[in-house]
Amino acid sequence: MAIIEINNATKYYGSIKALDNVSIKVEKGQIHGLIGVNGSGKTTLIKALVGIDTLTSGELKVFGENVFENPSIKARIGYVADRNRFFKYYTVDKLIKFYTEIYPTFSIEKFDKYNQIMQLPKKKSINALSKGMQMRLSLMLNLSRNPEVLVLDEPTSGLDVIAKKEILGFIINEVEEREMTVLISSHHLSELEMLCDDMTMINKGIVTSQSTVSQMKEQIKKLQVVFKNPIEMNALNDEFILDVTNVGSIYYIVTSNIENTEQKLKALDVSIVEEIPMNIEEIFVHTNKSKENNI
Amino acid sequence: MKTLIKHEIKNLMAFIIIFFSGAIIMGGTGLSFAAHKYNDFITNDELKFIISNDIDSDLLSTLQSILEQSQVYIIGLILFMIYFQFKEIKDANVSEFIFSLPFTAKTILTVKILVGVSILTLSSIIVGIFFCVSYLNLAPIFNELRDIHPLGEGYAQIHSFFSYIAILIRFLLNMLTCYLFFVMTQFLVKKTGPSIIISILGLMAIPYILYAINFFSFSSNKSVVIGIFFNDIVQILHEILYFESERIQTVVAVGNEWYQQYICIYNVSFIELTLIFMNLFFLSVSFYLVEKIGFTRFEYFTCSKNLDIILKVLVTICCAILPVYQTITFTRINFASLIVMIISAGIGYFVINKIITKEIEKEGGTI
Repeated sequence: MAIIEINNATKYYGSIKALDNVSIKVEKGQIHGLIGVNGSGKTTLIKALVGIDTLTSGELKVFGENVFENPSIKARIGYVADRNRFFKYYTVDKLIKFYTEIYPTFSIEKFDKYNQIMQLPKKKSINALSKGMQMRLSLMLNLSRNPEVLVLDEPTSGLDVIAKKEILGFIINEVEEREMTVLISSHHLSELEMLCDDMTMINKGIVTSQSTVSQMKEQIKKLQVVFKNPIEMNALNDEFILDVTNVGSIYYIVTSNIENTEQKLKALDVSIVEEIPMNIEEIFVHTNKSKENNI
Repeated sequence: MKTLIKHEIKNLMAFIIIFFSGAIIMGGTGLSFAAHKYNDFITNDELKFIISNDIDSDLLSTLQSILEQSQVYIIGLILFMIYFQFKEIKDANVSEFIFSLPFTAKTILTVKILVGVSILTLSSIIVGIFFCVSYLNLAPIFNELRDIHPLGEGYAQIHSFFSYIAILIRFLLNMLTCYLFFVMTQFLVKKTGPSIIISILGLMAIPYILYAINFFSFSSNKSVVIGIFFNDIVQILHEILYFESERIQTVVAVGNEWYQQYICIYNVSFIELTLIFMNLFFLSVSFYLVEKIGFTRFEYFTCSKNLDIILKVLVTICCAILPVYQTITFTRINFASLIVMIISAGIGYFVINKIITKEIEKEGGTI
């Protein structure tokens, strides 16, 4: 049984459809990435997942139970928001005490161990912390709770390069040691590429792609091509060719069906065809572009 | 839940201090009056008290008026307290953090009401302790004077220690009713501040509309019926807020002299029962709505589309009635006044509709 099961999740805000039949499954000990542009529905889905908001229709279960208004399940889920708003007049110390009282699994020793690296002043008021420091605080508090599921919404925003590396390292350690299940959304796709087992791409509330990182990389390929003779750009118009750019006589072709495209290129008298690697960010851009064109 | 209660108490610490300080001041005022009375009795001869018509009713009525007069200030404090309690959970972004915690909305509401009610109850108890001390210190003097005063037997029967408890119970119930009413209205309107303002305006609208209808009724029968209904409501409100109770006339003949006195009876009565049922009603509605829409899951400006419509209609009616008051004050009602009424109603509807639409669009709700 999957730890996180989202089936046909739909959410309306008035007449606006924020989520449209989204289905995701995350197994125990997996790190699942959720990628999408601003306003694609990631935060809406995440808020429903941690019990802050409800869905209009569909099903959302963690550990086989509904999350909304379910304190026993919520106690097992850690949540790091994109903007962490804690009680303004609390100090870091008081917030730690608050967490200790609410979550029996909270470990102050673990928090101190993380804080040796993060160096947050404990006596400081939450209000006085910068956005990056509040994010670090939220991460440390949630990791110190030892949650079985950790949900993160843009956790690396506002963090410097070193802090990002440390945080992602903490998450990977927790997954390896305790088989913690993670759902993470981010704009920084290069980080997700290194971190995630599976990914879901979401655009305008609709799932556009869902697979492992390696499967995603198999879906779209980039070819570096040189033709024997100059050709017209519209000769490369094809349902599988997503994008064509050229620098002088070198053409870069992005395709969703490499076999079909290679056959087409042979027919166009190509002299050099070379596959070049694509990162997740490029795959994401081209996937979204192709979906928009189809719409 | 314990943690939430501790957090709520920390949140309201300033109000706890203000309420308790106010209670000590109120109680202290009563106690100092009682001490003054006591000194008066010690330093002056008994005759002054015997021939005076007021014996212990002086103390009881003074304590009663302390409670009456402080109600206005306490109601204002209650409004601020409710604003602070619900601002965190309804309007601020910190509400998302609170909702991610392992508590249900019902638990959060229970904690808020528990702490609010406890503050009011403990404040009343503090006042009560002072009042009881005042009474108990003067009780021997009252007994002595009742023995020799012609109407003393009447006072002994009617004014007892329980009379002091009765006025405190009424005071506490008034405050709790006010508190729980405004807690309930937090679940009728989306935003914290507007819900308080709309609730107050809604309460003011009742006499505002009734009086205008009364004035507008051309038929004498209708006017009398509405007038009586209006007067009845005012009478009930007056009794509740001004602790009015039954008054009896006592007449005693001593030799050739007649002694007559009106004595107020302070007792737990039908009004207290009504207030208790009102409080239970407000609590039921609050818990029902918190399950249905929570603190923030409003799709409309109010908790339902129908209530949005009712609000628009009421605002339109109130704006339409405005020229009536101008007419009542200055001139007779005429055709021009009717035109002004229609224009005023239109402006009122336009404004409230704009406010509601803008608020809904901002939050991505349903118009």
